[in-house]
Amino acid sequence: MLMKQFFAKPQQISTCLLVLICSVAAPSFAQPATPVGTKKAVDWLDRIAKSARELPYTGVFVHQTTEGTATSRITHLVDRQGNEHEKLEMLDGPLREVVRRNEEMFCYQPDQKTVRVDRRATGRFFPSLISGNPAAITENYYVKLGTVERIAGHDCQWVILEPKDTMRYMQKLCADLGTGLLLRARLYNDRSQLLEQFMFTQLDVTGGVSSKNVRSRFEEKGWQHDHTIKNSLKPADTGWHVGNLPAGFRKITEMVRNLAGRKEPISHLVYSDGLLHVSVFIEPVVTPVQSSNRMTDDSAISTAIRPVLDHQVTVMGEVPMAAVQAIADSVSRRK
Amino acid sequence: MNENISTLMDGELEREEAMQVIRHLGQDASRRALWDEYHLIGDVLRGESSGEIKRRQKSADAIFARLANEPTVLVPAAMKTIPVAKKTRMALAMAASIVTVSAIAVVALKQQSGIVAPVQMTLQNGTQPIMQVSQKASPTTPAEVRVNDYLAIHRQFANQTGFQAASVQVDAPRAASQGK
Repeated sequence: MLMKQFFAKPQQISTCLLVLICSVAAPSFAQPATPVGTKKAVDWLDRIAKSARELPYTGVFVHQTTEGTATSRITHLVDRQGNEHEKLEMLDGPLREVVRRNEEMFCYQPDQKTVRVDRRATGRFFPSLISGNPAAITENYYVKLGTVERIAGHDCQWVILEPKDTMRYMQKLCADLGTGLLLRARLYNDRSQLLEQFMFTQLDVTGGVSSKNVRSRFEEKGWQHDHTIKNSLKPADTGWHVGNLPAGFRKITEMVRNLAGRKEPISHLVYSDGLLHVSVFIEPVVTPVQSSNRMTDDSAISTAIRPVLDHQVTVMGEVPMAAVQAIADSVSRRK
Repeated sequence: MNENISTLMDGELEREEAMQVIRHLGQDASRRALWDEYHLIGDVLRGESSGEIKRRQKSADAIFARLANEPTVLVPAAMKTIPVAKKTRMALAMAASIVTVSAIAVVALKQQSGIVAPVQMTLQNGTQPIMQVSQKASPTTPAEVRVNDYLAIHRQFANQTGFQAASVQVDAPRAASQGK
């Protein structure tokens, strides 16, 4: 009897919870029921996110936008203490190396003999493109498995992410069958035109990476470390708020930062739907700005500028214009 | 087949073979993707970071689609209407000249009204009218400078690409000289 009572309670509670969850979640399930293959596709998203974070690998990849292409070598390792190390060498243009230790980034610039220090917040860093919870991603994208292809000598499973609304872009990811590591990633606009592509042209996931390989070859040079960017970053409650955030976007971080040449610090809020990032910059201005919407030359980043009180609000991200507009139009001071 | 595509690109294919490859390209999107990729590889090898990839892809698609619908005419004269190799060279030369410009203007933001953003124009319907700022007339007004700085921050260390790193680079000396 006692036992029965004991068990009845949690059941009642869970039933209540279930009803509550269903009623809250009901509007977002207006779309057709989840296809059977989705579970498998979500498992793939999991593997893609985990492998990029956890595996040792080294390879060369090409980043292609409508503006051009750039080739980089990446080397990735997680040490015994669980710290993530990554070295990125730009193989095109001026010599550049970026070394990342967890969220801390060191950019070695041989031409200036400086190391700029920053914190990772917004950048899309291949092959680590999935930052959000894979299950949450399915709330805003239809996730389907595509064909298996051979890329850079590896068999590769395509995973297609189709947006459920007009607030994000379609993405196609191709992951190594053996390890789950991303071999290719494509971002399309709403007319299925390719905006951006990352692809490994050579990859070694067999594990021959040592801690020496993830250090910059310029480390011993004793160049001055420029901490201006990082020191100016202060995680803070900026007092600003986005009232109309597109579905699935969550605030990743909120900070105050100084910008060279500006007296007043600016507020920087970062939002993500688990795949794409939107930055909101708020800066006090003397002359009010006029509203405008723009695209970068490569059409990948949409920007909306709005005057709000005595400030200029600038919203940008690799998302459709509709998304940055919705955000920009709803930025306000928190009461 | 893949080998034939690259031979065709080099302009070294016999006419009949060339026609056959072109027809395949017209019928098969995956082969066309390969054609685009070979061009991309070519660009990278030549050290040209080619702009206008999207535009080229579109025009190539259109050409192949038309060719696929044309009746097979196996006469040498037919070749004259399809100077593929020449077209390719022209496209590459065009891309090269565009690169010079875009290397400078890479963080410059293009106005909504341009050819670049017909997609977003459709999204604009029914929303508030948008101010048109002539970016060419005053490329370094305070608002423009701000936006470029923000872009550099958003892309964080140039988002792994050399050409965008250059834009972050440009900011540093200017900002330093302003500070003192």
